[in-house]
Amino acid sequence: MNTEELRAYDFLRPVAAPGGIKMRPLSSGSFALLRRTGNLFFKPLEAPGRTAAAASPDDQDHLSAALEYAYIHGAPLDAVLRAAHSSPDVFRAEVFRFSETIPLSSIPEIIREVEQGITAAASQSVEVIPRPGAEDRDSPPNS
Amino acid sequence: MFTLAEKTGWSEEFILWELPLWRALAYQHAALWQSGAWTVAPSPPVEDQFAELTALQIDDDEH
Repeated sequence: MNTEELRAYDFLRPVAAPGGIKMRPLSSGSFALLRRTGNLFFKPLEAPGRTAAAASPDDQDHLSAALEYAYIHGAPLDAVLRAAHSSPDVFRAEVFRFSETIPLSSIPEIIREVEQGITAAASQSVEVIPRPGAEDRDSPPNS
Repeated sequence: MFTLAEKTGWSEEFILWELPLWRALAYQHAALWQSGAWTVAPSPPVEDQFAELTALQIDDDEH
C-alpha cells in the first residue's frame, strides 16, 4: 500500500484484533514504551561496528518481540504502564501471562500489524532543513 | 505533542495512546509547513552516505 492509499483507507481499517484481542494502534506513546522495554523490532540502529558483537536474533527473539508488541497494545493501559516501569523480569512475566491468551495462529497477524505500523510511520517521517540563505534572525519571533 | 494538542484540541491521552503514530507524524508535518518550515525525507544513515561518496570518488579517479 503506497502513501496515498494509506491516507485514503487508514480511516476505514477496522481495529486490529488478532486472536480476538482488540489492539490499540502503534502510537507515539506505545512507540516510546517499545523503545523503553527494548523491543527487538524497535531498537535504534546500532553504530557501525557494534552490531557484530551482538548475537543475531533468532525465531524465538522475534516471537518474544511480537508478543511484547501484542501485550503493549492489547492489555489494559494502566497494567502495561506499571509493568513497563517495573523490572525487566516483571515485564517479561506479564507479557508471558498475557501471551497465554493469544492463539499461536494469530502471531503472523500481529507481525503484519507491526510491519504495517512501522512502514506507515516511516513514510511520514521528515526532517526540518534551513531555508536556503535564511539565518536565525529571519525566524518568526516567539510569541 | 504540544503543537498537535494546540491545533486540534485533542487530549494528551488521545494523542499518546489512540492516534496512530503515522497520522501524528503526518499532522506534525502539516503543522511544520503551516509555520513556514522546510522539510525533507530523513537522510539515510551516515555510513550509507559515506559509502556513496567513496564510490563517487573512486569513479571520479578512474576518469
